[in-house]
Amino acid sequence: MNSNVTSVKLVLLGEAAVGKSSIVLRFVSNDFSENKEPTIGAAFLTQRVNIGNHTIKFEIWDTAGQERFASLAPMYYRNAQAALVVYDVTKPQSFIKARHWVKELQEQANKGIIIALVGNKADIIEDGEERKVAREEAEKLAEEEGLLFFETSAKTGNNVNETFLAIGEKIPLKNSSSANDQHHDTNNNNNQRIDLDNNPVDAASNAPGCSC
Amino acid sequence: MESKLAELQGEPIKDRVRTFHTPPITDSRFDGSQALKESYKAPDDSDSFDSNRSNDESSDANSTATLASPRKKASHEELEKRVGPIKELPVELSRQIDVFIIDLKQPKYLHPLTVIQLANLFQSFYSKFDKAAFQLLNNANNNINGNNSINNTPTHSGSLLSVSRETLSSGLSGIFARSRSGSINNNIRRQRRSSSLFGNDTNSNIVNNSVNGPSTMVTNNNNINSSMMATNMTMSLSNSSTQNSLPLLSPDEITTHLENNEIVGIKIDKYMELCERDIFQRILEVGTSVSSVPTMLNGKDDDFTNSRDNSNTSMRDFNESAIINNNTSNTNNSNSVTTGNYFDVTNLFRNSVDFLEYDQLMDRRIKCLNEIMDSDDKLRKFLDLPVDSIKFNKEIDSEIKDVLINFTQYSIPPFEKSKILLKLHEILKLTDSMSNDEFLSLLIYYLIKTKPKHIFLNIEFIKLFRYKKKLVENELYSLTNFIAALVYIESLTINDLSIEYQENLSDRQRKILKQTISSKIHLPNSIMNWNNSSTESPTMDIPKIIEHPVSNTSSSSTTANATNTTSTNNNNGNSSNRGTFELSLRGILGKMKSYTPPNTLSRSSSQMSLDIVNDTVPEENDDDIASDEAELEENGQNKSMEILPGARLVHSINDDEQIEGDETMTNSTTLNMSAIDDDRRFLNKDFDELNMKDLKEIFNIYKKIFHHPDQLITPNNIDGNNSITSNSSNSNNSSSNNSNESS
Repeated sequence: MNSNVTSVKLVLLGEAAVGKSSIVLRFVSNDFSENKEPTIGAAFLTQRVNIGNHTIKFEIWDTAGQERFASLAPMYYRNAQAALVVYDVTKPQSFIKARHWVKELQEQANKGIIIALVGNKADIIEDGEERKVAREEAEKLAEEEGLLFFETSAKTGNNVNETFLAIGEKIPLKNSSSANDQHHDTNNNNNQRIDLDNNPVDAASNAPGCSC
Repeated sequence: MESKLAELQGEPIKDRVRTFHTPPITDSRFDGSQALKESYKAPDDSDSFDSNRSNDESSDANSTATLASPRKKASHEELEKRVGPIKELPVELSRQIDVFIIDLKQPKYLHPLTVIQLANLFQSFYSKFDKAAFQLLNNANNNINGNNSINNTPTHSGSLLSVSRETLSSGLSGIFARSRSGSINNNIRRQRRSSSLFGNDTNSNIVNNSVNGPSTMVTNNNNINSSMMATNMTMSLSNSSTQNSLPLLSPDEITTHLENNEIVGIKIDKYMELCERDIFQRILEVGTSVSSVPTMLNGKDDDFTNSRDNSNTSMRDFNESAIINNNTSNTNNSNSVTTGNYFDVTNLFRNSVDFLEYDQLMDRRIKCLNEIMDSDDKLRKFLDLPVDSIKFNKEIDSEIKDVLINFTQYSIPPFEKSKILLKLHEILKLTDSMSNDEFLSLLIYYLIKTKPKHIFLNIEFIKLFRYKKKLVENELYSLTNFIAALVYIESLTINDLSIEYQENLSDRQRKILKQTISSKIHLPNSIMNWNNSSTESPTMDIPKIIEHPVSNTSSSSTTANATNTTSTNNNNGNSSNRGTFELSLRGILGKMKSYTPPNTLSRSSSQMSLDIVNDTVPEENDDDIASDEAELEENGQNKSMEILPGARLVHSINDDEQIEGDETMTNSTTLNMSAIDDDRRFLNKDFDELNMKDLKEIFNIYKKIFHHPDQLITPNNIDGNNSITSNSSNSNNSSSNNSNESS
């Protein structure tokens, strides 16, 4: 019943100009007011979400989408608990790239990272432009790889919040075990203290699970 | 909980969207208001949930808060104003820094510390300082609330809390923590924890204080009076005996609590910054060198008696005398380097040649790229930045240049440098769209354009010496951006340039760009080498600290050390590793035997020297080890106090921080259990499964354990060390094998 705030590092991946940043902006500043100067940081944003009696604080790390910087991505998704892999529903190329990101994340990122596949710019289709990435194809990928999947529009805000909520619900709750609790607390600050009083049998039996 | 979950799942998504209520919070160090509200929420009463939520909305929007509750909660900024500018550290804290610096200057290391070892010392100190600051502020708070003058505080004995008290009260804290879930105090505690590492411990102390009241005054000068905080703690404590009734506070009181806590948080932040500032300022004064010839231990003790004697006189004096002491010893050994007033980060890296070389290559490479892209337009084109954009103008150019120069040359403490990075982000942001797509290019553009000197070392400096707990969120993000930019620059080769450039390169340029820097220099534990280790998750920056509890009973801390050492040796036990490992264990054990740390907290910084952690063991150290070993035998126990060069607690930098804690813990305990590795196989069996033969063997093990206890972990005699080390390294190997398999 504790009211915990869980910090979740979420990284944004996707080809340049698919609208990564717009999605976050939409999510973070829910009212996209026209005359408001963007006062928040260029790429690092936070937003809180309440799920049940639990608060999740998303720390959102935007990344550069150009191909030339692709090799730098691990520095950004390092220790991320969630990732948003974004593509543009009107650009097949961006979907191919999204596939790559999904694969890379699953191979190299944190085990148990929650990945959401997001097809952005859904509003353009409603305006009559041709869809180039079939919804079914993306759904299939999501199903195969165990991803969350949404088609969103950062412009209208459609499905943006839903995406983040869905991620939030998949985040393992903090108070499920006290050990987890500690890890969340110390996640970013490397201040792990070794608890010598910890029951050795318990710890030993956990060993295979955490030695990756 | 169950019902809540069910409700949640049954709820249509649209409804849940309403629960977005929190405006962006850029500075999110303080979660107190959030936690508070949540606690008032009756778990299955949706009405109260709603009303609470509306409160939530307003109080969370700190900047625009119009709170319906009786008393308006001050915003973060207001509180910060109320705290006012803190320019000086309180005497106790300042003194901790002195002790730390003195300790650093002690010539107790046979080999110079690498920068990473040094950084680990710093990080341990930061944590301790954080804790001390928290305790100090809480005590001060209580004093103020109880109409006691804060002036009492400086006369405290310096060691804020003795270790024994901590352990005494920990039992209390156990009850305390368990019994309060759902009560208001729990949230307060939680928030504390967010502002300081040691929520639990310190709280327990407070409880202790408040319970014992007057009696503690005698022992610890904690003039506890009926401060609100203390009362609450007592209330909740009494609660724990009755077990159910929750103390309800008026919203007014809660607000006060939160504000107090937030103020404490702000103060601690400031103290931490001042701490970094002071440390580096004093290092600047005394220079970074340490005399190379070890002086005898009594020299060290003199310093400490000095400090004790002088505790009544002004700190300044003590400070100066200490520095003079050290300076004279330095000049005697003719090894001192005067840094003057100009702080040069390269000094810190002096013992880590790799870093210096890397930095040099980086500077050269940036300069070379700058020559090749001899006009801004070329550079922009190369980086795919729009060539004719209003984003580029002279004003911003020069501003950024100033900032970068300030960054590399004039700023000293890590937090200041980190702030400058954030500022640079601000400037770049103004010139750019919201996307990070162009941001990184822009950063690289300015790096090449302005060619800041020693940029690499400066970045590394922040990474290593900024208090890790505060290097989070946007600070970490901005740092990561910089690191990414540098990695990109370092990995550029000729092939990345377009043909026209390739043809016009001079031989020198060609040479510089022929291969990546990381292919030439492999930095230990560097940001730069995550690229190469693709099988593991990308290793980043931050060297881990194994923090030993400040326990002074030598046996327990020895065990701690031994287990830590082994547990951290995750590198695929090659021979050099094992050699080092054995040596290190022996060194530590020897040391532990003859060295009983003094009992004051102020000495703890010297204990930290045991925490030296090196991340990798370079292969070429084989020779070193041999000679070290000889040296070690010669020196025997006389010098066991010194940190032996071989005492590298090998620590594989596992970037998976979340898992790391577990892993270290488990490995260490595994080792503990499995000193006799072979005999472990019965551990997983049920008694019923055992046959007679097994039982016999178990009995043998049992006998072994009690007849030769020294073969297990106890370091009681040095002669036993060999068997210990070999045993434990064996088992360590097996445990690292295990981990390899499972990963």
